[in-house]
Formats: sequence, C-alpha cells, structure tokens
Amino acid sequence: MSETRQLEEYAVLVVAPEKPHMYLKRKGACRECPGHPCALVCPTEVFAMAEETMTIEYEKCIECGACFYVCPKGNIQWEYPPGGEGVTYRY
Amino acid sequence: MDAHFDCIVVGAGPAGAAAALTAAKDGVNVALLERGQFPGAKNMFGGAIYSEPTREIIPAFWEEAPLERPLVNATVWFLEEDSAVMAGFCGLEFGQAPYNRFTVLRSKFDRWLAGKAVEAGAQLFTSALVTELVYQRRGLHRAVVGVKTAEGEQLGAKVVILAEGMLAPLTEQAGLRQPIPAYALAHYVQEVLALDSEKIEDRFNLPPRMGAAYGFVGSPMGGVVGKAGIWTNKDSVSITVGGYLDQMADKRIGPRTMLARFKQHPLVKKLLAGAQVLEYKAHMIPKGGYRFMPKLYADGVLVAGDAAVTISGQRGTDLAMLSGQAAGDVAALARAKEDYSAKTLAIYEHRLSNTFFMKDIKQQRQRLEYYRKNPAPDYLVSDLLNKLAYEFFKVDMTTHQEKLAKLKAIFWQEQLPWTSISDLYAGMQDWKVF
Repeated sequence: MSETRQLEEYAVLVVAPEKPHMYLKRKGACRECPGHPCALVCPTEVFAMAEETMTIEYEKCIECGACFYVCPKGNIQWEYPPGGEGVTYRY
Repeated sequence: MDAHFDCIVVGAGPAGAAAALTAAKDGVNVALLERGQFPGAKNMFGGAIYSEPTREIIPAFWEEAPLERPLVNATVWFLEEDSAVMAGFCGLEFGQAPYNRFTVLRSKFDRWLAGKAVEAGAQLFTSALVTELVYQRRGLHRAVVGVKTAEGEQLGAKVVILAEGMLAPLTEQAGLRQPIPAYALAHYVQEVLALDSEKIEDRFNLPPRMGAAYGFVGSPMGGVVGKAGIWTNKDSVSITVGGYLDQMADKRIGPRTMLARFKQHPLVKKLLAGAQVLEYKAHMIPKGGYRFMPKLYADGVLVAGDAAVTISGQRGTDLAMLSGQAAGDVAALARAKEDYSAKTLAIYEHRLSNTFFMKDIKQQRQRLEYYRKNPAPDYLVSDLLNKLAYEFFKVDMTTHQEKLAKLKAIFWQEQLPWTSISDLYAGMQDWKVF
C-alpha cells in the first residue's frame, strides 16, 4: 500500500491508489463537452483541461462520486479504490 | 469459500453497524466488512445525530458514545450580501437527558458504533473492499450466497446486507437500484475548523458544553437550491455547504466557490475568525426520495441506509440506523426460519413501510419535482425578509402609517408566488437547517 499523505491544497489525507481507479471511456469526448461540469463540481480539482485533453489527477480523489453523476456524456468510469486506500478522514 | 457466515454486512457506517449489532445480539454469526481503514474513515454528514432514534439502537448511548455537544440552539439565517434575518430557538431542556440532538465527528462515532457490533459478537474486517456478489442458482431464481473481495477472497453468507452507502455499486450491480440522476443528488463539502471551546461558547452564546446548529440560506449559495450549516463540536466547528448537483452545473457555481463565498460573508466570517482548517471533506446525499429507492430485498440480500435511499428531508443518519436495525432483525428471523428466500426477506420491506420515515418519504414523493420547477423560493424569501427588516429597523422621520405603507410596498414589489412561504417551510424540512 502506498503512503498516506495530505493533499497540498486541501486539508485531507489520501492514500493514493497505486493504479488509477477512474478513467475516461472516450478520451476525445471531453473536447466537445461544454463547461466541463466534472471540473466544476469536483471538491479537490481532480479534473483539468490541458491542451484539449482532460487530465485526471486520480491521486487527489476523495470519493464523493459527483464527477460521474454530473458528466453529461456518462464518460467517467469510476470505482472505489482498493480497501484501505483513498481518502481517510480523521474527524 | 474461504469462510462462511450466517450474515455478511457490507459497509460499517451507521446502517451496517446497526444491522450487525442487531443480528449479532440475536446470535447470528455476522461479518461486518468496511472498505476504509476503520469504520467512519470515509464518512461525512451535516453534523448531528438524534437522540430518540439512536436510543432505539443503544439505550442511554450518551453515557458512553463519543459525542461532541448536545444541541440546545437551532437558528436559521436568511443571508443577503450585508445583512441577515435570523429565526432561532434555544431550549436548555435539550441539554439534559434524554437530550435531543448531539454533534458528533463521524470518524469517532462510527468507529464506536461498529465497536458495539463487535462487542455483541460480530467480526469486523477493515480495509476490505467487496467488489462482487456471489450467486447460486435456485431453480428459476438466483440467490446471493456470498461476496468476493478485491483481493479475490470469497466469503459465503446465507444473507448479505448491503449497507454500502450512497454510491451503492453492489446494489446497482444486483439490479436492485437504478443510477440516480444528478437532479436528485445533493452535493456537499465540509470543513472542520479548530476553535477553542470558550470561543465557541462566546460566539454562539452557549452555556458550557452545550452546542448550536446554524442553518443558512440565501445569497452565498449563488442561485443553487442549497444550504450551509455550522455545527459546534467540543473544540471545533463543522461547516457544510452544498446544493443540488445539477443546479451547480447549470448555474456554473461549484462547491468550492460556494464554501469560499459562505466563509467570506461578513457576518459568517466573524463566527469563524481565527479558526484553522483541520479537515476538508465531500459527500453526496441521494435526495431523490421514494422514486429512487431500490428494491429493498431479493433472494439472499437486503439493502439498508443511503444505499436504500432512506433519506427524509434533513434526516439520513438516524434512518440509516433504523433501517439497518430492521435489516439485522429480519436476518435473525430468516436464520430462525432457516429460509433466506425473497419471500421471507420481504418482511423487511413490510417492516420499513410501517415506519414513520417511509410514510414521510412516500408522502413527499412530489417534492423534488416541485423544487425542480420552482427553484427560487429560498432566495425570494431571503431577499424579501432582509428588505423588510432594513425598512422596519431603519429609524426615519415618517408617520406609522407611512412606514406601514412602505413595508407593504416592499412586500408587493417582490412578486412572491403565494406558495413561497409554504415552499420555504418544506425547504427547511428538506435541507439541513433545523
């Protein structure tokens, strides 16, 4: 299991999963998406458009699920990170 | 099968822990599986548990549970840019046994509750992610006979209780729940901020060790039907901000912006001055109600808590515990009958349908649709109340008659739909204000 660390911008501990637990079903689909609601609603800014490509920093995910529920194209495949990994709340 | 149990409970949150506790007390051989490092490691909520429902699970729980403060004050704030109209209640009777509500920190409370299940004989497995249900053919049907973990381990069970939380992948995999649309989901972020207990008691005007819950509607929500809340813990405060997920996308305002706007409000800022952020959290609530509830049982399986969408207005954590308790009871009953078929497990649905909360959930099934069509009442009422208050409190040089005429003019200018006041009442029930 990888190490527990606090995210840089947010006060939350995440054990980054070794393998991505989320990916785009169709890479190109995000280019046509108006407004990228995934990036808007994500609490920890996992999603960012860079040069017409959607980048996903899955290591920052705190598992709320908002991205794949809000995606107008149903383009985000998401599953729970392995047991014990991902976000660990202390409070 | 690597191991076999009478009952496997997936998820050690309030629903799962209550289910495991109830079944184990009845002598059922229970495994309680939690994907987090400990129960509560993945959980977040508005901030308070309720005494009466919790007593159903653990009588006099306040004598041992890790609680923060009993809530004696509930206040709703209608916020505009530089003003607020407040309506509140403070009742010190709620500060004495049997109490009314308590703030808790979920990482402590959930761990304690799961510990009660372990004391009753349940076996708790943490860092255990269930990825699949295991089925067996029974004539024309198939029955759930166990689970498979991410490590590929198979655990057998006569009945599996899915208390896996709102995302509910297994419940969907089993075909019991359809994906919930964004308009039926509320999306919240939270910050827990350190604040000295004396400062909390000063700023929130509280007797020692007593607590307050403040709910907020109005301008910081940026047009989204949503609310903010502040809950006082022992030496921290939890603030929660959010609203309907689809509206965030439509109005182009995300939860991070809503949180920042809320904290920057001049009247809120004072309450939080000097408080350091300890933790940041996010979680969604399935607000959809009856229409989006799953099928609650099938051969060898029951669904409880957020996975079962047992949400009624602001209430969720207590209903999770109560639905978990009912599921645990029915698992024990099925064991006594040695029959885990859908026919026997249907008793669970029958039990739930007789509860106060299922009656409420059924009765309120139109509310979400109404809110979708009329998203503005919170804002209209908040705007109106603040304009009226400014005029009412402004000392000027007019007669009483002229003052009254001015107030009436403000009221009529607002073009409030006649239903707004009742909508607002419904909204306050629906959201985490009181």
